[in-house]
Amino acid sequence: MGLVTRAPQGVELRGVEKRYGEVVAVRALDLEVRPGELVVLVGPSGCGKSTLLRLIAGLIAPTAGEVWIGGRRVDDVEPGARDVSMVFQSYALYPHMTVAGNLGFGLRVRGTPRDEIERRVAEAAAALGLSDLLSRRPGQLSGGQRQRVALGRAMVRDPGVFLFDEPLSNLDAELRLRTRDEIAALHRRLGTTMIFVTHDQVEALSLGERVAVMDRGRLQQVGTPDEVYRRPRNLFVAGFVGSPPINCIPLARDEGGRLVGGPFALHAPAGLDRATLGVRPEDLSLAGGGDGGDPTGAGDFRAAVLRVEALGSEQRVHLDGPGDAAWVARAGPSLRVAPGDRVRISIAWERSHLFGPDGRREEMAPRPMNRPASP
Amino acid sequence: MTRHLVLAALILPAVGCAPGESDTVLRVALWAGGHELEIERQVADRYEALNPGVRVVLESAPNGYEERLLTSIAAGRPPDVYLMDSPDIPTFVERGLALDLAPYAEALGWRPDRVFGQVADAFRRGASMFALPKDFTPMVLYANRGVLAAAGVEDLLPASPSTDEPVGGWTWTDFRRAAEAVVADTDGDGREDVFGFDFPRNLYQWVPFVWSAGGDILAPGGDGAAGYLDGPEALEAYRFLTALAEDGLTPGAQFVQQGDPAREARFASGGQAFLLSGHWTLPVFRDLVETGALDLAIVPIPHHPSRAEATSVLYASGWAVPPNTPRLRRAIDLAGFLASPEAQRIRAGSGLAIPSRIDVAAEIAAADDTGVEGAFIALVEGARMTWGARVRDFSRIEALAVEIMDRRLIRGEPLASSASDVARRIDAEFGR
Amino acid sequence: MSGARPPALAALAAVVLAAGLALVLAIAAGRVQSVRVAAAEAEGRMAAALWEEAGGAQSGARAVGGLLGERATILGAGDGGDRAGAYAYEAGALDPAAWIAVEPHGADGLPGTLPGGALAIALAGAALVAGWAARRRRGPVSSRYPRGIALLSLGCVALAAAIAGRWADGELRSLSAATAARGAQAVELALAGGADPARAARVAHLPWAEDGALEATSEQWTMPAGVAAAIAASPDRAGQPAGAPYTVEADGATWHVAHAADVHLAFLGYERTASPALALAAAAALAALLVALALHLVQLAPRPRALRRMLAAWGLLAPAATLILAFTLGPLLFSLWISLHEWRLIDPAPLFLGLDNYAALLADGEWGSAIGNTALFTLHVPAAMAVALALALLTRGSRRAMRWARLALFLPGITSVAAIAVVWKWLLSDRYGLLNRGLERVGLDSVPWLTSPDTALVSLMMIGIWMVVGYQIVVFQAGLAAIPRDWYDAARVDGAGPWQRFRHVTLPGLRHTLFFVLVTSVIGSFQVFGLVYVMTEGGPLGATDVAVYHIYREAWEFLQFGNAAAMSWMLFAVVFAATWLHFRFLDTRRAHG
Repeated sequence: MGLVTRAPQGVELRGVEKRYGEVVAVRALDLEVRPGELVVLVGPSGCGKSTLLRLIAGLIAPTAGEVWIGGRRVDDVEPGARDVSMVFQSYALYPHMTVAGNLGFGLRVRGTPRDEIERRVAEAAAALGLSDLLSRRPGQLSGGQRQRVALGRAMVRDPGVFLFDEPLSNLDAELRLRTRDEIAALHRRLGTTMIFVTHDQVEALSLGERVAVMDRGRLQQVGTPDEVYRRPRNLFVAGFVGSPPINCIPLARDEGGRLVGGPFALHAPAGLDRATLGVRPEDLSLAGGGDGGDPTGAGDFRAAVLRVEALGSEQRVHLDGPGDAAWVARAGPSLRVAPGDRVRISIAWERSHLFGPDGRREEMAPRPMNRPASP
Repeated sequence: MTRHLVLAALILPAVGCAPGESDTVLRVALWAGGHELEIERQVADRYEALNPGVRVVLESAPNGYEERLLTSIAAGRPPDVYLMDSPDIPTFVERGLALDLAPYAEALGWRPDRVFGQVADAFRRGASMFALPKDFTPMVLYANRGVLAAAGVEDLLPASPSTDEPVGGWTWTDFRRAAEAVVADTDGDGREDVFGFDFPRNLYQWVPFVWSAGGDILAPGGDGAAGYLDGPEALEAYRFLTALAEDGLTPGAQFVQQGDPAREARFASGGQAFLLSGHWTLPVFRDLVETGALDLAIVPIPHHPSRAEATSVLYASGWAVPPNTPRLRRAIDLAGFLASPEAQRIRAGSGLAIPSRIDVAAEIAAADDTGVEGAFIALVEGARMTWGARVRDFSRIEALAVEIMDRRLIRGEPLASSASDVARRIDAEFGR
Repeated sequence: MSGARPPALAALAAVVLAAGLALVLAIAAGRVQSVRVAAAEAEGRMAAALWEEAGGAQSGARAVGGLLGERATILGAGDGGDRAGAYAYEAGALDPAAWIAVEPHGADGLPGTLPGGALAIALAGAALVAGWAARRRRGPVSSRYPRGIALLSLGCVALAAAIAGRWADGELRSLSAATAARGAQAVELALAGGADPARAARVAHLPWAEDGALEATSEQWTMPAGVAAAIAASPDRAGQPAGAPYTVEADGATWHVAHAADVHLAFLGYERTASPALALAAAAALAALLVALALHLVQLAPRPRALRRMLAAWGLLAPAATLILAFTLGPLLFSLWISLHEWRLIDPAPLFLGLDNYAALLADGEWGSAIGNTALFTLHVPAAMAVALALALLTRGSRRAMRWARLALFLPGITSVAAIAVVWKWLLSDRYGLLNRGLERVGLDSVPWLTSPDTALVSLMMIGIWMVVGYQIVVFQAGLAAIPRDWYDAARVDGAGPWQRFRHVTLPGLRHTLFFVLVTSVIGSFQVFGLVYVMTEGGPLGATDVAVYHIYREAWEFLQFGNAAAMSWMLFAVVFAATWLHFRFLDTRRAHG
């Protein structure tokens, strides 16, 4: 493709904070995005991820801290001068301009020569398959086409950093998947720094080179998708990332010095009075049949099957247990269980997590003791 | 069932209170407002007392009277008696909207010889009488003697007119000298704050000046303006009046019908020596005159030096009866009462106009020790009824005629040219 | 169930048609009958006047008998009741002496005099539709030929109305002629009875003029000048025997004239004052409309749910539709009708001029300048919009100061125009006005705000701006709030400065709002009246004579209602054209689909 790409820029946030009166939207946050990297900001709604993106874009000013882009401090630089471009959730296309007008707007307001605008608009349009639509207006386009125009408008300016504010949330499921792939491909092709905001953890994991999980204005964990999934820094990240979510059960130290909860009795790491056990659904294995014999492995337990979701490639088995909890196990398609069956479940303890009372993950994996906590 | 009984119990007393079926309701249209309306109500109450079983409803419209009257007539629900203004006479009479009341004069006890002649004539055509005159007023000059005395020109004023010796010799020259003399800047701010006069912009105000120069605005038949409205005498009157404005003897002209809204206040407070008006302004000044705060003189309109006397203009109104009222004789009887000496005496309390009956007017003048009422009556003699009482669509002529002097004062156009242009357009209206 | 409906509804259509025809005939017959009663009342008044002139009961009764013969009954004063007739009085007295009851003409044979043709058509029409309803069995005629049947019904009603109208007109004409003749006869009887010749004509209660006065140029007072002139010029005048009626055309109407001795009596024919033409046309139109509605319902009959919905919709619409018909559409049509006439509100009947009023207005310089002044005044709208937009942008936000500013700016918009005009009139007064005193205080010359033709309209425009700005600000702020925040953010990220954001985001985002405000404000501006009425009365020298004020004066000051109505419709045409042009060239909605 003909797009001339400039060197990608890095983005760095140092102690950035944004307050609205008493409300703190983003607090003391440090984040470094390397040039050419695709970082996904993910978190539940209201976690401050969009605020963070706007701070980077310069649409709002931080109450404290510094924003650096491409090695330049840009706290009081206008958004237009920050060498960033942004794709909005609503696409923010101007309905009174044609597709060509929308694509070229950023260049036009900068006084780029007319033929240069035309050339770059044509290139971007060609790259995104919009060449036939240039004279249409946004009202005459489908959702996917509008999304591509929004993308094109960001591309045309050839910025050092791309910012995406939930650009896929207005698309239907199929189009969303396709566009996700296209963005990933675009990133590979352009090699530009991209910061992508989403509330969808699947999108985050599939798209990001690194994923930054936010909650309540704080960065909870930054890492590769694998890190975030396999080694969540805390209970929030563990719970937010992964679908179906991680299974949890609270544990408390008993007089015997064990951490007990439900059918489990675990070795207690020093200084841990209360904890939460977290086990991902795929780390539960069900012994088929309904014989309900005694658990053989340490930490195994039995539970009744409440419901089975057969999803084709896998089954999700909803359990009435352990204890008061209701866990979900992921099983292969061949497992034969029916609601009401009692099954024996064993846990892959080495991949399970123990979270302290403050939610932090213990480095050590939980270890079950040989006999169950209670008869 | 009980509900119906309760309802009936509620309704019956209400019905009992309503006027009995035998009550004849007579509707009277007039334009009285405020105190004047209260006095007309007293007149109506008196009639009700004299005629049991008759109820008189006063439908008064101080603003937009003509609109309401015409609408009620057009809607087929005319009042039983209505007040007819002098400019409405031609249209209403020709359209058959006023009954000839002459045949009933005797039965009503109405005596034409007891009424001021010009006033009765306004409503008379041949032997017919289309309304019974209520009251009227001449246009006169109100003079603030205090202002004139301060300028030392009080002696220019003519003696207060009385019926015994009609006033002559009060000329434009005297008037202008007096008006010139009073102009002053009393507070020294560089702007005049005492004036001689205020510019009489409307035809109803300036027509006596044309007459007092020996001219007229329309041909004697009332069917042509050229040669009259732009005749030499009329032009002299325009010149005299516009010169007053142009030479700074009046505050700046206001080009609206209402004229200068501050004129009366200015006159009363010593800011203006002369005020051109009818009797209707008198109540405004009455208190000031009685407390001695205003030394008021009523003097004639000044006349051209070449003539012996001024001719002022009269405006009158009368009670008319539409021929198609279902209670015709009742309405005639009421109109007769409204024009009777008794009603006129009650009405004298408002002091807005001169009663049409000579005897009642004389009674009022005799009771007034300021001499003002007497002066008004003395000025009636030399006055003429407005053209509007004879000429149809006079309002159109009035609307066009204001242009004559407006064009001079605003654009500096020669009066002869604007007057002849307006006369030509009025004649075109006559030809329609 | 639903199968039973179509024939029922077809029968309904037939009934509606029959009712329409009956209505048309009843209007014509009713109008004629009421005119017969009116004519009898007129005769009663003549007889009563004759009684008075004849002086005394004996001779009075003789005179009345001579005038009306068997048709008159003389009753005691209190026995009149509600019969056609009049009270008789002794000369000049106010207490009634007798009641003269008069039998109306043709009261005996009303049904027989109805035109057979109209009746036949009515019956045939109703039979036709009824027959069609009966033929329902052979196929869905209703859905195959509804238009044809509607047209047939319409033709039926129209023809019946035309015939009935013609018949009524003939009847009215002969009643008019009889009234004129009766007047002349009354005058003759009065003269014969020794009445004063100067007063004899009054017994006729008709406009009259003496022979010698017919050609006089001055006003007659007892007869419209145009009628007198027409009688003077009529060839029939000399040859007619006394009491024989003939007609003249004057003031666009037919007058029935008769003379007795040297007194000419003219009577404006009932065909002008009581013609049923308008009522017949309205009834025919209504009948046609109802038949069409019934047919429409018939078409819906196979779909009962649609039928029910339609009936419910019309039922719900009916109250509002009636009000609109009575108070909006009715007056509109009436003014259109008036605009084709000369009418002074108190004239007994408007004088038909066709399009003369319109033609005269096209050449009327004063009306032209009134339209011109209105157009000039309308230029305050774009200025006001610019000011309002600027203020709307400045007073955005919810800070307390901004809220107060918005309130202050909005106040003029909810204040009565009259109050505003009176206050501004004082503020702008040449001598006493605050504005001029202020100017003088700072050493500037005072300005003749309202007293010079050069400044008066501009002064009014400034007040106009001041008045509408508050309202426009509110609308603009609503429009601004509807512009997505993202558009501004996107523009900022794209590097657009404040002016570019205004130019490329705010203005386009407000385009519907701007269009709405422009169109409504221009229409409002064309209707400006209060300011002019209170402040300048159209002056000085017509500089502020705007269209609506001009119309007002034409109607209420000069009583030219036809002319004023024509002006109103021309103003409507101008406003309509202006609005159409706006839609044609400025409405961006079309362009964006």
